[in-house]
Amino acid sequence: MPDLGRDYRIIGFLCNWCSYGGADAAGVARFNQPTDLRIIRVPCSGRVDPMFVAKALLSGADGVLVSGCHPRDCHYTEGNLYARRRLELLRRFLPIIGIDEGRFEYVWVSASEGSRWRDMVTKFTDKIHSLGHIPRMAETARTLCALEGMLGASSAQPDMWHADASGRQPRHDALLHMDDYKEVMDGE
Amino acid sequence: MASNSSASDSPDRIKTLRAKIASELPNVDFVLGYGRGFDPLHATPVTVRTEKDLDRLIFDPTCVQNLATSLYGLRGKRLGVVVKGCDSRSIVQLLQERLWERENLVVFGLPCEGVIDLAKLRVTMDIASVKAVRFEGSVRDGKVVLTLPEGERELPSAGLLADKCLRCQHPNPLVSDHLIGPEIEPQGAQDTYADLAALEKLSTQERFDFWKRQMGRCIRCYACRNACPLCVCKHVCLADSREPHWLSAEATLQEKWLFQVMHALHLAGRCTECGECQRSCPMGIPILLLKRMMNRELKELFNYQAGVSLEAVPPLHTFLMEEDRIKDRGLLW
Amino acid sequence: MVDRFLKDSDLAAVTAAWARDFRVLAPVREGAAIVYRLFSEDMHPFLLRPPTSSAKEAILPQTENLFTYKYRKDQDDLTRTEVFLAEALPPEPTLILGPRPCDARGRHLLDRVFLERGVIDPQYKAHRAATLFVTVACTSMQNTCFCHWTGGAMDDESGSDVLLHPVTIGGVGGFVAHAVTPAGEELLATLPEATAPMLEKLAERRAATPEPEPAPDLSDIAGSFLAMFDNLDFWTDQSARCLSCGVCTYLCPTCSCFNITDENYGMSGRRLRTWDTCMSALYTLEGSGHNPRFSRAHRLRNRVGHKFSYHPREFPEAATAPSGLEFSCTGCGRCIKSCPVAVDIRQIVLDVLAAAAEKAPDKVGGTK
Repeated sequence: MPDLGRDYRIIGFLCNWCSYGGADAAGVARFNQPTDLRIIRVPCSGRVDPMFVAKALLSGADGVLVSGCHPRDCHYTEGNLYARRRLELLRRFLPIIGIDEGRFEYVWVSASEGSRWRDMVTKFTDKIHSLGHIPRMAETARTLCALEGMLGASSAQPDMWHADASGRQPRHDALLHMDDYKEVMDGE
Repeated sequence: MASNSSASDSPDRIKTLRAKIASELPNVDFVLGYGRGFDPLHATPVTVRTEKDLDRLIFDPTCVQNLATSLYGLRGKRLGVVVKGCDSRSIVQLLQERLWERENLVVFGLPCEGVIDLAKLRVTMDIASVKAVRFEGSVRDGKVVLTLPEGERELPSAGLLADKCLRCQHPNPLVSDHLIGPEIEPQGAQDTYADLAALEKLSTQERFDFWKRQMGRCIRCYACRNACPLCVCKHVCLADSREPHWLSAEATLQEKWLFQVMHALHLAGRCTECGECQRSCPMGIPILLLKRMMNRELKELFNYQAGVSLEAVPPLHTFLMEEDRIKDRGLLW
Repeated sequence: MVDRFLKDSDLAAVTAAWARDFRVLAPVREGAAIVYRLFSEDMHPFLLRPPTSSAKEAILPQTENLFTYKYRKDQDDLTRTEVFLAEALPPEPTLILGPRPCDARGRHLLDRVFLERGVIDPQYKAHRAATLFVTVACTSMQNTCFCHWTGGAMDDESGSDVLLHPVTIGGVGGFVAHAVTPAGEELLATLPEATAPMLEKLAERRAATPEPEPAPDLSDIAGSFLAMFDNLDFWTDQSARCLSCGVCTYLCPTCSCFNITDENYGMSGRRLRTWDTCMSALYTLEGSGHNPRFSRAHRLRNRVGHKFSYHPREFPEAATAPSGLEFSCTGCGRCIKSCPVAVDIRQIVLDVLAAAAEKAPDKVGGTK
């Protein structure tokens, strides 16, 4: 069991019909699971454009896990079979750009496999912890900002924000309230 | 070019090309061919509308551009196009994807021994000072004679050939209405992907740093995209889309890098390795490596090569219930 | 001002000394390109050939953060949203090493756009004031160079703060460093004075440099262009090869077009200014879906027209070229050299002149 305090960002794309249910089943069964994974629910693993994974990894996600229905078990019959080809190709491609192949994985978990889901998440999280953080690009401030936006967090703080509680800060005299801002606009 | 025995630029061949084009001019809006650019090392695409334009046509190892690139933007017209073996694969791919109608295209195919890569010449000399160029012997093992201010300089042409020519398996156009000149035996070595192997010898971190440095000088001009014969989305490309917001307007390393990954992903199963993306890059970023990686894996996984068959089903448009070469990921750990 | 001497072997050390006071951008070789990178001690600036990219990026960065904004819901009155703005920090003092005289002259043409008409652009003004150009004079012209068409020269001083003249004396390579502005003189203060033999040697080399082929007479170009404006067949033939990429405009030392974008991330974001290119169909795409420059022919016509017709007509008083016109082009030739399909703007200009003369031999003439 990895320690839960460390801040890793793992993105999970889970299909609505099997894996999301599987993750739910794991929760209902009150299994102990690592908390690094942020889940995004998609209709089908066939919906996962490899660009989702590439964008997450290049935006600073430490790992990406895609999970869908088992082959032959897809709610849409064949979505996961197309996904399998695309994702396998992506998995083999990523190392050439310097992203460890272990950072991306795709698995099949059905809605009833709560304990399998727990195992998958735990093993994948362990692997990401052993790989460490993904290499950062120079523009870290921007990267984090984008990732926050992607995760739907509203606390994104671009680097230059040092505003105090009042929202006013002497160094940037252009800090304006909405009303002041309007005035400036009307004046022009 | 008196002592010229090379098939690629023999005076007879260019005469035949001009005659064939002249015979088709009444049937097409215009023909895309090669003309001389601003110096003897540069060719430039030209349009042939009337017989008086025929004199501008040339064909020699400086004719590097893939003229199939211009096709998609000219849909609706009936066109003629001059292609080398490698360029014809782009045509095959365009036809396979129904991006162009065969009946609206007249292909003038030229068997090709290879073209020169100016980037290779540029590292040995100031190419701007070259006054004249002559190719002697065959392109493969002959020589290039350059007239420089200080006199003539001879270089073995093999050393200047584009990498794609050294491993060329399709010197003869795969699709053509008029085949001009004798067919050539493929002389290219089997592709061993030595360039990828060299990159793979590095550690993951070193590879990351390699690309970080390479991508760092990208100016986001998108010449790579626009020079690609199969990048047909043009100005509705995801790179320019605000919604969904794939790429930021900010010219950061991350955006430049993601674009190149996007280009490689969107060409998976479509890229014929014509190399125009890399050749067009003003900053010399080796982006063809990414496409070659994709192609190597496609070949290994699905035994597929793009642009060689009109009937082939692209591997990502289909699936097998039991994939022969994909291990079940769920059981690995 | 006295000329100084900068030995080749001292270049890295002198640049390092400058880097203590400035953000120094210096050209380095990377693969087949020569690019400006932030100077670091382990770097040796490469001044032998003109850099692949122009020096424009020093004063008009490809991306510029105009301000950062953040929205906040008022917790007491949820109908009220507050927005906070933070101006971008002022630019650091910058020194760009290794531009060519054509790049330096590009500064004046950017000034015309950002400082001389209508709204004075505060960001550009700040960059302009904070940036010094240490230019390297050319010793020969490449076959893509045509600075003399536009009134430039291999050793033109305008726009530079320091002009470095390459010279080799007694087997020692280096530069006779000529300060053009007081700020430039300060930069050179610690360098030894150039000796008389050095200056003689330099004068000798300059005298021996062959004159470029005379520039064609372009005094009719502004009018000729307008005469050819509606001839779309002419422009279609000129542009059929064009890929509509941004190489020419992004490498150009004078192209000034930009786009402004708000980049939102949840409740906060930035307003960015980025380079834009008139070669892209998106440049003129309107909200309705209509695009007045829908074809490559329209777009290439715009680039040529802006540089050789609209600009000289807009600034008739600023004559710099031998033709008595100021072009929005300094003849650096990057758009020719780096074009993937070898589009040659010189040839297009000559074709325009010839075609217009053929069309109306009596009417063409003057710049009106």
